[in-house]
Amino acid sequence: MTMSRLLLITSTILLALLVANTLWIFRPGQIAAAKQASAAEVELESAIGSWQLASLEPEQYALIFFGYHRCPDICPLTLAHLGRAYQQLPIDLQDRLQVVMVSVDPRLDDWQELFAYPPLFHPSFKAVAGETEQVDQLVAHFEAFYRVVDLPSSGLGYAIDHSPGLYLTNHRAERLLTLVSDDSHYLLTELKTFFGDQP
Amino acid sequence: MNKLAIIPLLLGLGWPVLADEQHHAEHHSSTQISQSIEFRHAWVRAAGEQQITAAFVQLRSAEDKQLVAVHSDLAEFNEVHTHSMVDGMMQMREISHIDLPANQWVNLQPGGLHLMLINLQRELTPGEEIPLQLLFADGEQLSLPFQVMERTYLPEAEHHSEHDTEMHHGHHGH
Ligand SMILES: [Cu+2]
Repeated sequence: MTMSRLLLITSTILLALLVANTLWIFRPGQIAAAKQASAAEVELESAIGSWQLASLEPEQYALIFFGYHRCPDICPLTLAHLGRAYQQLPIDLQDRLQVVMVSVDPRLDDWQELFAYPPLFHPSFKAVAGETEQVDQLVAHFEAFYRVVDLPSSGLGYAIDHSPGLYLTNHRAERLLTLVSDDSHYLLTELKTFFGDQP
Repeated sequence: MNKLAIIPLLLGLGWPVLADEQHHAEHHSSTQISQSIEFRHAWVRAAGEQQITAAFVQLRSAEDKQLVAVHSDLAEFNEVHTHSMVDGMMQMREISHIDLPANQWVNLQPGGLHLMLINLQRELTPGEEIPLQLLFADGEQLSLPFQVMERTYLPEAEHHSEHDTEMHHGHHGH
């Protein structure tokens, strides 16, 4: 093997390593940023038209959770606690915080009934629904889970197991706070603490 | 089956809490409904279009008993259910029975044990009272009046149950 041939191979390997290294360093960050941007742009339907996190004002926040209209106990429980906590927030914080229930059963939920449901707990609360792929993108972004389970022996026929978390986020779909609680005092304290820390 | 226990209920005497005092329900003492079973705070969440709702009650038995079923004419299916957290997901499942260990209050409450009424024949309106029949493994059968409460209603927290402590945590995100 000639010297020049050896140099060529060595430099090729070095170049390949450099390129691989560059990709290795930059890729995860770029992917995370892209995912966040696409989560913010996920477009769902609400009672008053299309909804997406990206359309929040920069100073606004959304507290989202996953559920479904036929969810018989956990969803009304979550909404009742949220309603109670929300009513006790100062008005200026209420104006900056949107509570959004995202349906993980968009095919079987009656959307009009779904949309009418959260406002029972507070007039400003809303529900959104959409294509399963879009919903799944939001679910994945917040590292939540759900699964449809057949229950042939129950009159329900099926149930949807789902993460009970409440995800505080903004127009950039940043994951600012995750709350898991069935206590409205706790929710209120956490929200006040979070907003108290904001400039 | 203890027929004598049901007679005062049919006469409306077995339930000391009237609809207009329902928000005080938690503070009322329990009602003896049979020789061995007491109950308190029996309520059912109002239901509209969903046609599915949950009923709750606190029970105490003087001897070991098992609640095995619930019946009503109001719903096509009446089931005994519980919730549990599995793989980070809250799941609700039908169960075969609820144990009532002697002299111990067992709380059916939102997010935990409950009676599930599926395919309701009509809407349940806050303020009304509906009867549900509870069946026990030993054959005892009791009819209890359940107060229909607003969907926004939350029982004053029984803060010291296992379920509550399990759920009282949050964590800060990224
Ligand atoms: Cu249930």
